Amino acid sequence: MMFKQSLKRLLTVNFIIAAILPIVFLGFISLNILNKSIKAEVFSKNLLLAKAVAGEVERFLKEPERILVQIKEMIETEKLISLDNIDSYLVSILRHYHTFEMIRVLDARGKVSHIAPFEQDMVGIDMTGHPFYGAVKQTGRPFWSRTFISIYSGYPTLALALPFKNGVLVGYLNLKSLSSITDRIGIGSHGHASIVDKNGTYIAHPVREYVVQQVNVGHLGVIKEGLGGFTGSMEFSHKGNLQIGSVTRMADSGWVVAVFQFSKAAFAPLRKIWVVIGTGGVLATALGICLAIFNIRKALIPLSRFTEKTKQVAQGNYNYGFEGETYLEVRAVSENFKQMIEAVKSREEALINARNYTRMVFNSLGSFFVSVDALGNIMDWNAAPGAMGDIVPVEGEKVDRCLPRFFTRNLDIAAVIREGEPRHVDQFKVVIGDEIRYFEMDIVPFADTGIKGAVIRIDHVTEKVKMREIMTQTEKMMSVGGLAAGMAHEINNPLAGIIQSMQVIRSRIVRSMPKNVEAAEKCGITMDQIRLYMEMRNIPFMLKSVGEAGQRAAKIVANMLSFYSKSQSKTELNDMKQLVETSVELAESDYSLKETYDFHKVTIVREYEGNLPLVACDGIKMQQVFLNLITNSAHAMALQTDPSRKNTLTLSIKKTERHVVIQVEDNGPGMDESVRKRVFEPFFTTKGTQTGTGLGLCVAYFIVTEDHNGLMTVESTPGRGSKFCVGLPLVD
Amino acid sequence: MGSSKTRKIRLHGITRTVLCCLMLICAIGCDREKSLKIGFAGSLTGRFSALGIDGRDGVVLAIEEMNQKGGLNGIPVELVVGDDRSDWSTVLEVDRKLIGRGVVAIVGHMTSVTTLAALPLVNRETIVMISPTASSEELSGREDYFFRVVNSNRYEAEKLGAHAVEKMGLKKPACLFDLTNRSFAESWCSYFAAPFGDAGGDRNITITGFDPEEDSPYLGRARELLLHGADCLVISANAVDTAMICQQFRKLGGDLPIFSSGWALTKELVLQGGASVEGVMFLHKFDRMSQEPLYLDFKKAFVKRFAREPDFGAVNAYDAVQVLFTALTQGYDGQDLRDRIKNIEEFRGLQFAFKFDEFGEALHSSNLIVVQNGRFVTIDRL
Repeated sequence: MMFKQSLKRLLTVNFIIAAILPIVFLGFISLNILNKSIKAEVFSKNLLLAKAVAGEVERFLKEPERILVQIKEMIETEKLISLDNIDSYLVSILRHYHTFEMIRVLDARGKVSHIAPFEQDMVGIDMTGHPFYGAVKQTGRPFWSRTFISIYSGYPTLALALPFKNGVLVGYLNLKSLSSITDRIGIGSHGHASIVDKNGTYIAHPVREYVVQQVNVGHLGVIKEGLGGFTGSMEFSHKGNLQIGSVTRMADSGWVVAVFQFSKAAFAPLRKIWVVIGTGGVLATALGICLAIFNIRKALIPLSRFTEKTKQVAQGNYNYGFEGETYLEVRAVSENFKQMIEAVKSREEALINARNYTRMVFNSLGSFFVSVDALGNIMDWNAAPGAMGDIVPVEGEKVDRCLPRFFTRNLDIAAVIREGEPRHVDQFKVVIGDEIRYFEMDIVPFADTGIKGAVIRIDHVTEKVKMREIMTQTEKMMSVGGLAAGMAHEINNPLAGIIQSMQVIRSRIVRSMPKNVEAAEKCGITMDQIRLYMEMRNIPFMLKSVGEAGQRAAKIVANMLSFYSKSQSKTELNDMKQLVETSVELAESDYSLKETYDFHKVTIVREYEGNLPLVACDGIKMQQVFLNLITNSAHAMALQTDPSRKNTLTLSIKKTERHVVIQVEDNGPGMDESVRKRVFEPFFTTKGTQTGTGLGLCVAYFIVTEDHNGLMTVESTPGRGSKFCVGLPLVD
Repeated sequence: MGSSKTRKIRLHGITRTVLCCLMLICAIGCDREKSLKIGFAGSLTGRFSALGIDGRDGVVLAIEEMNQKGGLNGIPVELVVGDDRSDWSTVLEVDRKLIGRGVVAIVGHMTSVTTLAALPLVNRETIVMISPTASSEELSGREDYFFRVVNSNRYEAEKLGAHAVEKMGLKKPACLFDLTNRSFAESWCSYFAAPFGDAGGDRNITITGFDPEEDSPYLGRARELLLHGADCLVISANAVDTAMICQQFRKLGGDLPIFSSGWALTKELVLQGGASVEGVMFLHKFDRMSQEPLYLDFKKAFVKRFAREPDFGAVNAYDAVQVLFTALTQGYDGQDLRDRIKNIEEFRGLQFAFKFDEFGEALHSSNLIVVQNGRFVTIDRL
């Protein structure tokens, strides 16, 4: 697995964690402890307050009971107050004890007998409907009614009823003063104490509306718990705010005193500590980060420098200095690295040398090599020989697309690679510029290297092909020439006999020879008669024809004999330019040529190299050769049918490494391959027997090759013209 | 390049965190804002506070139940309470405050006189007001934003009057009504007395108003009533005042049949009236003895929540809120709340089903109730 984490980041993170973790951990522990302790303290303090309020309320409730008992004793037991004075007595009690809003005395039937403050309307009314009446009558014990809103004061009121004589003594306790008890409890700005009755309805609250509107909070968790008898503190959520509620229930009345405080306010000191610790934590973190960055940077600078140096080395700059490192650790690594670089450097040099050598050999092979992958995409190649023309291999491209001239459509390189068998493509023509060149190709799939692909070798074999052709031609010409010479030799003697005999016959019919006359007379005729007879029978003409034919045959035979009989040549140094020009002049004056074609209509282009050396040759014979070539070209161009094409004869002389090459090129109709191959053969002609003997080029060939040890070739493209090349060896 | 890219990535990380926090805060904030507010307006202090507090507690229970179920269509319902103190000017102040707080409708007011005071404002503000208890005839037949879950007082008063005439053979009623809620109380007496005239009874029907705030109002009024020589006593006042009049009346030896408007049909009547209210007759929609499962469930829940039994104020207020919930829950696209309520074909109330007439007034039958042994006993259904 690749480990991609940055050392810098790792160190920074670790450093920061190391800086923060203790602060966070200690902070968390401290806060937790503080939290618990402050919470417990607040809970306890608030509960204490609630209990204090409950105590005060209980004391507050004891007072009215004591007063009522006192009234009861004064009237009922001690009989200190007469019945007539009860009303005024009660009024005086009310005047002294503001606890009561109203005091009523009910008779045995539950009707009001006495009332303070006095109200005539109320005297005599039936109060049996009130629960306290039934309860007191039934139990004979004091009874605390549930709280209700007084129709007189509009405040929560409580009826405290005691058995009195046969009836009931009832005092109405205005609970307004309860709120003044709770109001005295100050718990910051967001805390308060309140009292609910046993039904959960507020009877004391800093917000008076809640009391007079009898808001019931019995459903609130903490109140509910308190009404159920729970004494203690708890945290609860109300309308989205966390609050602490401490409740205690008063045993006699069943009321619950509750002290509420917003947790936010209660735990304000804790929050302050939070802020202090938080700020400290942030500062410590910031400091930790700064220190981390500073130290890590300081520690990593040599490493960065070292990295930069190794980068330089990686880019091939082996002379980059590794000195001057301050840290021992980095210095040791640098030393080792230096040694490593030296080793790498020497190995790399050796590798480069080896590679250059291989490349040099590869480029010097004379063949074009290109390696391809399994799909025929180019991987590597060497320098292409100039004969291949401009080729631009591109790595990754298909070789047949990159070098289209050399790859025909039916050559599937990928298939060859798949089959694994080498393939040889023999001699194929490629037209490069105006030239036809010959190449051979070998496709050799890689041996078992595990890599699929092949090496393609392309060889330029034009010279080889030409050479082979020349050799074949030479061999053929030698054999044909030998055959012709032998045949001529055999014909020569009888022909000589024929010619000689012919001359004898002709001499034996002339009158001037006495032996002829004598022989005629012996036969009884005259020479004139014989001549007359012969002339009448056209014999002298026939004899002449035989003689001429014989002469002509003798000339042919002599030519044939010249193929093989190295006649005495008059070899001397000749200027080829001059010889060619003389030949042109002869052609221009050649009457036979004029008959068929006007040589003056031909445009002659001369391309003679300067400083041509003189060539050792028989000037007359070579002139014969050039005349023959020029005449042939003129004849060929005469056959040209395209009127738009201007007949051009290009004569060129150039020097090669070993020869002076004379080229005669026309833009006539050209030859097809079958004609081109046979053009030097004796008696092969395309002109018909009337025009030529078929020996002109043959003679020329032998003059060049046999007499001068030279080379003679012909190239031709049908429709474009022919080019004859004569190469005469340079003088050593 | 590398470092700037890293910085960019870090920056993106921080930006993403900040954005997340903002979205969270916004989501929490938006959630807090997103609540449906319903207003309650009634007298929570003063002489009529018993009815108001009862009504408020009914509304509180309805809303708490709805929120326990997850809110109205998932939206929490918030109650905004206003105390009108049965005071004309306070009524308007309270309603303005409620509307200002963005309530969708107001449940209230609890008395006819305060409701009449509020009507122009709610109509102007096009805020639906649905009263649990205001039954004055004056509120009937108006094409406005006012609804109520009770009949017009005329219906009950006339029926009760007819019953007195036809079934009990009474001929001369002496009527006493609370001047502080005149709109309801006086008309109720008039409607009650109407059948006496139609039946050829004594044309000398007495209808007298009294002010509970004046000194010793009850005994004097009771004496006056006795002097009229009436054959039945008719009271249209709240429970305490009715009880007090009954007390004085009985104290003076009066033993005539007493008829009361439904306004006094609370436990306070028996508490304050004791034996003097025995036999008092009412005609009212509220049947304390109803065995309807819906009502029984409601009653149980109410007792559990407030540690006391509900009176008609609570029952009607609960019904009124449920009417609102029904209209708000059902989707009537393009209709305002008023039209939605009008489109409720029949509403299943706690004790019986009813429907609204074209003016938003509930149409229902009523019970003939009499106080027997300190209990309200339904003796007939009219």
